Amino acid sequence: MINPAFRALSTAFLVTVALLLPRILLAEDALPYSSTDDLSKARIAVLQGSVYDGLVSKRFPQSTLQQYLSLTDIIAAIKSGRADAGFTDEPPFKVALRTEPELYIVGEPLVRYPIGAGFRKDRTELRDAFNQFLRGLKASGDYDKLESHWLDHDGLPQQTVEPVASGEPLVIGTTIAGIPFVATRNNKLVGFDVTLGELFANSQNRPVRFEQMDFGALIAAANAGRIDMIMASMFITDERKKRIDFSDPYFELNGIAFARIGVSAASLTTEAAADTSEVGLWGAIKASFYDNLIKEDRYQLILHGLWITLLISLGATLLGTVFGGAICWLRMSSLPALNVLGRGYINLMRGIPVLVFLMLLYYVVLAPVRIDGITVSILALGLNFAAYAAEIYRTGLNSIDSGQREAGVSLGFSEAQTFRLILLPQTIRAILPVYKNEVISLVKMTSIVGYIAVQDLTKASDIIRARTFDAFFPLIFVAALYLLLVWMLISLLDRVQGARHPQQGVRP
Amino acid sequence: MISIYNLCKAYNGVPVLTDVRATIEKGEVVAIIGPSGTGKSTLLRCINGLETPDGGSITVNKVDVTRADTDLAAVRQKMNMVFQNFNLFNHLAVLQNLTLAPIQLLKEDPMAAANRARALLTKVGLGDHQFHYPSQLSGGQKQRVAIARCLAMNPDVMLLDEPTSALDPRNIGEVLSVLTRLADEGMTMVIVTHELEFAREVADRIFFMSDGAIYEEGTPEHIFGNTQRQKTREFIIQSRSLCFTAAIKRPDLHGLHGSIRDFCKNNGLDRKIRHDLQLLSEEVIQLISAAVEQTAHKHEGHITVAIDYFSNRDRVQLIVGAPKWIPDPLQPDDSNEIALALINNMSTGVSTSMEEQRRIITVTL
Repeated sequence: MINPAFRALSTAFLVTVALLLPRILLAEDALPYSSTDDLSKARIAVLQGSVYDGLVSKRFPQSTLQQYLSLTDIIAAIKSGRADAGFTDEPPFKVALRTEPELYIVGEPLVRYPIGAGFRKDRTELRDAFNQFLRGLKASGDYDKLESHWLDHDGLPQQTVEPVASGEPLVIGTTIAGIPFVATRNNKLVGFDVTLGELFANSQNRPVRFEQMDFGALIAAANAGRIDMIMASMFITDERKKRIDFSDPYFELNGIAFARIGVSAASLTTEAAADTSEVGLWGAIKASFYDNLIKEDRYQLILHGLWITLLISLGATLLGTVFGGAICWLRMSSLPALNVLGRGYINLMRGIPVLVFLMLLYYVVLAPVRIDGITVSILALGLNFAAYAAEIYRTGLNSIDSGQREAGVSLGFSEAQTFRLILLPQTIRAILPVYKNEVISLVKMTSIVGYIAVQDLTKASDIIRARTFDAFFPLIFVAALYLLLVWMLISLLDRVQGARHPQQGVRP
Repeated sequence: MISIYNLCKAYNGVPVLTDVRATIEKGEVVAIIGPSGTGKSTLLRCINGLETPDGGSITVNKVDVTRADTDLAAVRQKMNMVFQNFNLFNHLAVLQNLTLAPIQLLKEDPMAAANRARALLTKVGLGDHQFHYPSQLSGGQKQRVAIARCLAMNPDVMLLDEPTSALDPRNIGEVLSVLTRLADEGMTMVIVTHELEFAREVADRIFFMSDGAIYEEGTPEHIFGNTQRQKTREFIIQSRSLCFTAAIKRPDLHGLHGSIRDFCKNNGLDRKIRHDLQLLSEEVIQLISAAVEQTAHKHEGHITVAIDYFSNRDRVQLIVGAPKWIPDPLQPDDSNEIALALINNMSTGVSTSMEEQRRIITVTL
């Protein structure tokens, strides 16, 4: 027998080691790369869809390219030794550097790129309006104030732009590039790009809405008409110019390479390390908890994500359950045309990965219609669920003895009454266990909606990780919340099952 | 009340019913008997509309149920059916099985329906079982609930499709007793049954069906007593007893087993009885063979095996006849001790006698 107290202690120890391992392992005091030329055979991590992947293959053809979805992931990969160096924009990296003392910038900047706002090719009016707005801002001197506010002072103290109250909103697609460009602070989107966008919308006398998505998805979204323009610290490149038009540059920045030093001395002098040594291991966990959940009310992001996940789960379950009934009816129809239709639908839905289907709906099928991501998520997951539900219903109905129907109609019930009063209750009872499983997998499947920029529970943890560069707490916490959510759903369905399975004993 | 005219029905081109004509009057109890596969159940299901006939007409209370525009549901409310497999609603307790249709279809007050249902359950002897679920009942109890469920709709006529065929022999009696009582009360019933004794006792008229038509109809006295038509006679004799003849020298035991199997199936006897009969008949034949060995006689002549089944008394008799020159095989000696003990154990009575120049061994189960 293992003493539970001992078990708790050893768990706490393991957790702590996991948290501190990167720092403990840093024993050497050397810069592995002194200039970018040393990176020719390195494993290089870049943001998926960024200019750096082209740069890597052009300038470092012998290197190995790794693509990640956020700077957080790139930093995590480098810290854990899975990649040797990362290529990214200088300003957000400098922010990260404050909390990540074991990283350093390798050599000279790789490139210097102009940054512009992106527009679909036919949106010339909007583009011209933006250029005019930018010229005005620069002429008045407000631009310099804004630049200094964000680049030199991280945008602190926080300044807010009063939005226009009504009208057709200007939808700006963006991605979390990190401070100073785009980041979340106090659960609000802030940054240089964000403020610029807000000011531009005001100049157009329109309210503004930011649509957050993965960087690689921005151009597709603009061309699909889901967003009016892109402001995501996007470099103006020839390749991108083929797909979209750019405004005049609103900023120029350096692209840099960075790597891990591994200097224990350096890290010990930093605040984070000092904290750890002062209050011990427990303190490190507490600090991490504070950073990831309490600071800037980040728990609210999680709560909001939980709500979205719940909303999509319930919506998709409801839609799938009802629509599955219709599909089942088609599938069981004796008319060949309807039967084939039902069969076809089921095979189609079961054959396409739900993530692919979700993106198809969002970027292709429903692209011309302005529907928000949550609705698209409910549609995609619900339509997928319907195919599985239909098969579950069919199996359930087939398992009911045909004598039950005969007994029903021979008592004088119509076919519909027989179905409702006799077959349906027995079918529900028969299928509940399998149905329950399907609902549980649906809830977990909702974690893919981040791909179409919906801020669900998983995405919330991604956003927090993008700020704290800490994988441990956000992921563990979110995993626990999913577990809790599923557990609650199981209890709920068990209750239904209990009601459907009347006690097999004699009542007093 | 029900008149059937020129009724035809085929499954995949195989005719099941050919030109069935019959009338059933109010208050009459009609038993439909006949060999398996002659369309007895199909006829019943056509009357109820569960099967659609290919031709002919059936009118119930002057309504033609074979017409497409007939409101079948309305007819069925007054003409309920009891099935071989009970078909109780498994998700409902016994009481709800009875009240579902009256509340939903007759718009009866739930309390009143429940009271009436309780009275009906008491009538079929299941007053204590109103909160049980079908899975908790024995076959006989299920069938009695099914009958009560029909009665709850106050039907004009009840159709019963082999109501005791799926039952354990022990449970047949209780169901037949309920049905007998209903017949006495004047309920109009059409019963497809293999229980010939019951049919004889309870029916006003008997339809004997053969090859998809009503071959002969008449009173029980006529059908069971003095029918002159060959198929009917053969059926009546066959179905009540099994006759099998085997040579003394190398008797065909497999043939005997097969006959017993068919006989048990036709009479709704369960595996246990079938097994006992097979074993007992084999043992008796072995005893006879052993007895023959002791004589100097040539192994000539034959053994007859007959089985009689008395469903009303729930008793099966195995009668084995052998030539009279064979010494009494039941006489204990060193070699047959075990076989005798086995026979005595498995039966309720064993006797041997001489009848018509033959030695008869009677074993009662």
